[in-house]
Amino acid sequence: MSEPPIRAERLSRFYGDVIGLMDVTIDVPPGITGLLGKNGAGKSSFLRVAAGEIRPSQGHLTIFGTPPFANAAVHRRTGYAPEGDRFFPEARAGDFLVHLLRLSGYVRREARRRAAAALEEVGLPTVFRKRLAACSRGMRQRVKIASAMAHDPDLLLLDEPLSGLDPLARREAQDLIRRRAERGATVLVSSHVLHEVEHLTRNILLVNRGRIAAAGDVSEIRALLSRFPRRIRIECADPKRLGALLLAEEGLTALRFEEGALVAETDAADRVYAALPGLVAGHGIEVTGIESPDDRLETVYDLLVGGGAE
Amino acid sequence: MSDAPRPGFLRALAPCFTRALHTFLAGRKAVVLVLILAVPPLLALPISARPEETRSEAVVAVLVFLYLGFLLPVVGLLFGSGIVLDELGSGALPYLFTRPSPRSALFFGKWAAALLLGAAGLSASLAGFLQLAKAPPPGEQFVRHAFLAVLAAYPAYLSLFALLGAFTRWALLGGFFYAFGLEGFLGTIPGMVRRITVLFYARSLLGEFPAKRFDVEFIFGPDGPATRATSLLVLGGALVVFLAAGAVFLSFRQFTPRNTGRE
Repeated sequence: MSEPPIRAERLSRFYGDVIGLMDVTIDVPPGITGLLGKNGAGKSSFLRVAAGEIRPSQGHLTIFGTPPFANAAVHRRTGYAPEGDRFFPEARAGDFLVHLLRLSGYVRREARRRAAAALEEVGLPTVFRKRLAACSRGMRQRVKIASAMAHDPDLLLLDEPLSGLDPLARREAQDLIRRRAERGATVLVSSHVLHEVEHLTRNILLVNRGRIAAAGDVSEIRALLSRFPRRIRIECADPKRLGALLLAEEGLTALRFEEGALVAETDAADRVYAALPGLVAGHGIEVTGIESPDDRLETVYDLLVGGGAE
Repeated sequence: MSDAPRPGFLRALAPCFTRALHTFLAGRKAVVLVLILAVPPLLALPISARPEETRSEAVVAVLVFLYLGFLLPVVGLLFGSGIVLDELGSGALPYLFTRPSPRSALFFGKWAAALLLGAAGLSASLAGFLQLAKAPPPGEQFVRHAFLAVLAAYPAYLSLFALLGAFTRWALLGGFFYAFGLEGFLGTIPGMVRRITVLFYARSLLGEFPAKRFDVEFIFGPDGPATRATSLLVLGGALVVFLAAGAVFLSFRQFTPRNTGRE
């Protein structure tokens, strides 16, 4: 039987007294897998170990059958976008990608060609010479995704890649990730927002307190979450106009306006999320941020951890 | 799958060197370097107005205490401690260490850039100082030895502090403690113990001081300075050992993110 792209066996990672991961045994299959968990659940620890940034404290993790830490053979086949958006602040976006591609073995000319192509692929064809420090958070996120993909890796490890993106950019990034998977790459993508991952894959790993709380099809998790009405907070230039447009959507139970934002309460969050890109694009409303405090899986965790689900 | 050839050490060295050079030149360190290295040439102006006998002593004092005792370790620390820690602080390390190129290439590339910039800066400062102070009242040979001391000791300091930076996040503090606590302390203990400091061999490269007011025995101990050959050998050996240890250590080192509770 062939080795899965990622295999963890009794994997634990500690940071002093703090547990990052605890006794995780899991195989990540080819295709896209969503790594879900709230902040501090252990998602980034798993990705850091998988990317070879840090070693396990106990147990094993292998990428294509070999341990990843300081392993050039694994790094050649892996593209990793760490969390956070603070990196190479003094560099220009293109130079950042060219540098990383040269560290991946490409000569300067090929590195420049690939860097330009990767920026175009993430929808930033004009930022090659723009300083990263001057880029918006969403731009830096996309540059980060480009850095992980530019050398055509077999395995993509993306830590919260959709965080900070507006709805349209988020949709584009999701399409991009899907295309990579269709071309044969295995993708492990983390998020603390369920619907983000749902648009990418049915296959999820739910992490809580360093352990795998659930693994498998998203519909099972979805079913748990759908029992609860949820709030969606949308930061935009014209909240009242967007609110009026959203009133036409089914399942909206309440609308509340804040300064520069509106909070929609709904028991059909899927419909709202599906309708948003079309509404903002069709009516030219600038959306600067979107978050759903209730999507952050606390409710599901409460059920899972509290014994409400098998 | 990536079709790139596996990047060897030499292939990865060039981009690391170029980027480090660019980063150093564009960053705050270049400003600090210029500011501190401008101090001796400024001091040279009042020195040049002195009569020849006291000018000689002042020039030697600046070389022995300001260049060898202060500027060399400070410039070494400024660049050396940041070889790894700058990347850690800027959030770049996870990107760099998850690429297939050897980590040692990053280390050596940045070290080489720091060596070039630091040595160029120190040489320019020293040349400016000697020119403005209307040196060489101490003698041309002494001036040649001064350049030799600066250019031989700086790489040793740089390598020592680079190793420290690969070893701990507290490299800056540790480096200051070494340079201004330990060296100053060990350097004045009678006997052989002062011979384990970089400073001793740097000063030894100056040879006999041409200014009589300096107590050679106080600075070097009863056995006097080491020979020039021994000094070069020790400083060169220290450079190789510190650099190799830093590169090897870095190959195995993992840097745990600071903000990690459970992420």
